[in-house]
Amino acid sequence: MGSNMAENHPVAFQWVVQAKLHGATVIHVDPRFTRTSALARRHVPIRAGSDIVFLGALVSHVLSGGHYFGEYIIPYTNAADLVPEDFRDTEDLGGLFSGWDGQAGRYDPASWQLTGERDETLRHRRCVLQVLKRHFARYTPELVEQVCGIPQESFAAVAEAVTSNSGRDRTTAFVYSVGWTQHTSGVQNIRTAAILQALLGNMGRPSGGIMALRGHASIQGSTDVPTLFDLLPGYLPMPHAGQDDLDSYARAGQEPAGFWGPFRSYAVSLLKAWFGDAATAGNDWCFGYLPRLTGDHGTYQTVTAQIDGACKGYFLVGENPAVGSANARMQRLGLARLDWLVVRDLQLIESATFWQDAPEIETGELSTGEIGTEVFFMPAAAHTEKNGSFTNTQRMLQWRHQAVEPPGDARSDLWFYYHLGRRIREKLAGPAADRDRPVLDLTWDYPVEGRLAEPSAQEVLREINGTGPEGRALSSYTELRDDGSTRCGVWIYCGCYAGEVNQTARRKPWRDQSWVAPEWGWAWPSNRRILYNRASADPEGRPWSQRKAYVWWDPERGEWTGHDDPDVERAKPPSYVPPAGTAGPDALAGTDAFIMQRDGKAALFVPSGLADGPLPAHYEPAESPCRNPLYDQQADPALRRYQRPENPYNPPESEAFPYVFTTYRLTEHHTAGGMSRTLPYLAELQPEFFCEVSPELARERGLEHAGWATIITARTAIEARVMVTARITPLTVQGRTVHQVGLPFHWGQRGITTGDPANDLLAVALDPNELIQESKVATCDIRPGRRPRGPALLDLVAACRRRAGISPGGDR
Amino acid sequence: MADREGLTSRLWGPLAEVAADAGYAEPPPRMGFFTDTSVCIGCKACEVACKEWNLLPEDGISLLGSSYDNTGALGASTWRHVKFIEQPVAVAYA
Repeated sequence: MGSNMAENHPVAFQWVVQAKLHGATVIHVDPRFTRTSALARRHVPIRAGSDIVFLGALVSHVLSGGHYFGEYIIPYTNAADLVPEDFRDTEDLGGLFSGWDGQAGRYDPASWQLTGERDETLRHRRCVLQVLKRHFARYTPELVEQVCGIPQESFAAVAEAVTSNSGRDRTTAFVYSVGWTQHTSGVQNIRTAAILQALLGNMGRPSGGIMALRGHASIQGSTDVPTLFDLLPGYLPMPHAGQDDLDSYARAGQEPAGFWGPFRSYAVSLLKAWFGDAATAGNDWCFGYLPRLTGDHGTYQTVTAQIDGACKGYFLVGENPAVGSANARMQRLGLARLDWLVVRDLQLIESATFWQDAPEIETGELSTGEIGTEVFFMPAAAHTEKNGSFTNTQRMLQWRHQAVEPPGDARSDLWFYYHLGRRIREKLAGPAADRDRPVLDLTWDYPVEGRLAEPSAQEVLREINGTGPEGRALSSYTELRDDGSTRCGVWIYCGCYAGEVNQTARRKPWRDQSWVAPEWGWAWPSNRRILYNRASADPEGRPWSQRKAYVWWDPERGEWTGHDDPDVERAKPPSYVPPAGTAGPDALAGTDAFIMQRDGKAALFVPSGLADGPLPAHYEPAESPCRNPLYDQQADPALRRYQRPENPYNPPESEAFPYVFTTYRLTEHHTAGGMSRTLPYLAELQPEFFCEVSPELARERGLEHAGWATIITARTAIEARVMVTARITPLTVQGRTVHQVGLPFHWGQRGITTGDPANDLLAVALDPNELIQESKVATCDIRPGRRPRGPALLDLVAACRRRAGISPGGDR
Repeated sequence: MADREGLTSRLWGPLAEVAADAGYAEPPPRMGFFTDTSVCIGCKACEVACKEWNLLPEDGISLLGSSYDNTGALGASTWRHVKFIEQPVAVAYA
């Protein structure tokens, strides 16, 4: 669900095809029939933005039919925990959970805290399982038909396939991609799947779980070693303003039990890796050098700051927001207000040339002579031209060896940042001001090699792995200490250079090792291939079945063993009960399989950490042609909007914007096109921007196959060639027909094949947890023919806004 | 060109030694594609690989309106062609 795996992850999809040849049933739930659907047993067309209803109804089916794995959920989930008396559900409050502060626009999660009592009979009316049953009671096959547009027989077939393939002997896996994440309900979409998979006992077991396919190579790596504003390496949070010392920071991040217990060891080891000998107990390990968050510094907030003149300089590295980000026009308006911009890319992308060829120049909104942005374009080396690692979707690091030298001035990112840092440090040398100390105290001593003075990527990997008191590479994060004796750049990657060997470069053929293939690359943490695999054994440590045996307790040797690295301390017996007063990993029992959670249990109900509720509830997307039939609350109450003139929203149920559209990628192109529209062989395979519409919609709107269509939202209007195809199915939702329009988002004004950017149509509406944009669903109008040119384009959009009742200020 | 049996074309091999017939002394062994259509997703990476290996030029940037196929037909610069045929299939709920 929410994934077109065959087209966007064709290499990984070969394993799905192989599973199919071994008898697996593949089901594809997606708004469009794609190349993934073509190889699936069944394609279930769904209305974009209704996934929680579909998954919630599966949860309801599992609960009401007694299909859950009882022996699994009592020890391994919080099903038996009691919620407090004052918790109120969306069913009680018209779509809001208790704790909603309408003034502040956010939840106070106080009433979501579990009480600490448990009822293992699962009968107490306040136990999580009973709360779940009531919460999802109205998520029925009838509701699925009404909201998702999926016939009841089709839903029943999926429910039967999932439940009959789960239990002791069998496991079901879910695969998702940005079709789940890029929604205002992104986190809760995945949460619903997590509830379902935990109830069915499919977590921590072979061929189970929820596979998050990442957008492209090493996106997993760029969250682990993050490019995100609110994270430090290894999912340590970025410090907030007010966390003045390491103690206050560690207190906030540390958990009383589980593997977030040694939080301080991870943090101190990171500071020692960054600041080396300069970090001492006496100066709080240089914790004061780290920047502090004062609020939302996400990419969309940054763009509004650019437009408002507060953000004046910008680095774009391997990203083309002038084509690839939601409301790409807003991105271009931001770029045009900068003092300086650095673009590092393989090609001169639209984000580097907006000052001469942005669509806003043609409409007269921008003029080249008036744009003050100084653009520095730095050609980048491609992956074949540098050493390094990719971290793929299953947390596996795989080393790449350089094949050729980069051409001309092209350089690796590692080269660029190392030498930029070196030059800045040289400029700051001499009597140092206090403000320069963080830069001057950085460990910045990577050996360089070759004609280009390329820093050694392997040395960086070794720094990430970490070293012990004698300067030797560490082998596991359990060796990290908070006394300054260990250094580690990314605690979860500790062990990737164990024994002074680049473990990520291992390529032992599958036929020469076990079926888990532990000697191919290296997976974090500790080369573990399945997380929480303690749950693959029963509470006594025996495999749930021989067929699904994975790790187990060996009572004779007194240790955990199996096919994979056990995700539990090797010598901790299943019978272990933590003595009073223990903390961290020691405070988890021998049956606590979910070791990163403070209670060691999979969270069916999430007491803290989520901005939009402890349970998933269906809200309509920020823009929807339908009313929410479940609650008075139409959209997610906590979702993040930017009410600004350049970001107006289509009103819900608007007759001016009656159709749903969704954006996506084709296998022939790469994201915003910089790596594919510029290549003749790929450009000829998908030579033009097109929209996919059903024959019914084509008839309704007079759209001609291979002709042109203009697609309009409150933001702008774009044109696309028309692809009329029965692969797009009109859906019957709440008694009327809902049409969905498909738009691949690869095109921009440069390259061998050019076209309007689909992302220009989107508004910025964000999930409140992760601040990801809702680019998988919005509303639009579609008309035959090409769009107007020049200022006439603005007139067309203004007329549509007036029809929809949208004021020029962007709000209704 | 006619092969040894005098046929102008055939659907299965072995094919005539066209390189040798054209005067290429000691040509390397001919290579072919093995295509398992049961696992093929239609990504056309084989079309690209064929063009890269044989140094064939791009063959026209135009949308054909033929599902996801914009190659159209074999030709002097296109030696490999993956077609897309969209057809309705009955759904059984059993």
